[in-house]
Amino acid sequence: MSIIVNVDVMLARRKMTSGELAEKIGITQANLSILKTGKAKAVRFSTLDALCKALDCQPGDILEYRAE
Amino acid sequence: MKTSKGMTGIAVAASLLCTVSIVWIFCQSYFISTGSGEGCIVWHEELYPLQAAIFTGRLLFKSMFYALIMVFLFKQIKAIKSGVLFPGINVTILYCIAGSYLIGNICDDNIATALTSSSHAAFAINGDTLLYAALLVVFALIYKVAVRVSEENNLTI
Repeated sequence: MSIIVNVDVMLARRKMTSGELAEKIGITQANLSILKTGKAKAVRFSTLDALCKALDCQPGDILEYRAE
Repeated sequence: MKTSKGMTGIAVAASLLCTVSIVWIFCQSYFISTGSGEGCIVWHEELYPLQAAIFTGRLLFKSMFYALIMVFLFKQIKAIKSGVLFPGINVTILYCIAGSYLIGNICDDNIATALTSSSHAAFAINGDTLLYAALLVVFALIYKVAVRVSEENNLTI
């Protein structure tokens, strides 16, 4: 897929662990892993909202489009 | 929860019916092949391959049809209990059910041919058999879509 999820980058920038983020946004670590590895088929607005709030960033910082 | 319990009850009842049907087919086939007189096979030299194919086909595919229904129901209940509504394996099972239904019923429709010793016996295919088999295939295709949608839903974060 040409949509890249940059949660890893944002986690490194914010010096936060996956476990902390999963707890903050209220999803399981398994689901966060699906999101990070790009296996997710869709992201809910509520999840995106929680991610942006927890990482203090914009949706564009998390999602990126790269033409294949 | 109520639906799950109701489904389990129906599945158990259907499985019992399937078991009885399998036993019935085996008993019937045994008496047809070993007995003598009306309703039993009179092997005809010219018709032997056709008679054997119909007789074995009926026994094999009809019992396979009932056994597959039991497997389908068992897998479905197990999947519901584990939280997966539509397991992918059930699509293959549904295709097999449709196939075994078609072949088993074609053989069943022509069991009279296997029983008769007349070399002029006709081979017939019932329209209803084709219709029900087609409906089962349609159901399998709808189930396939449901599996895909369910998988996508599981991957929505």
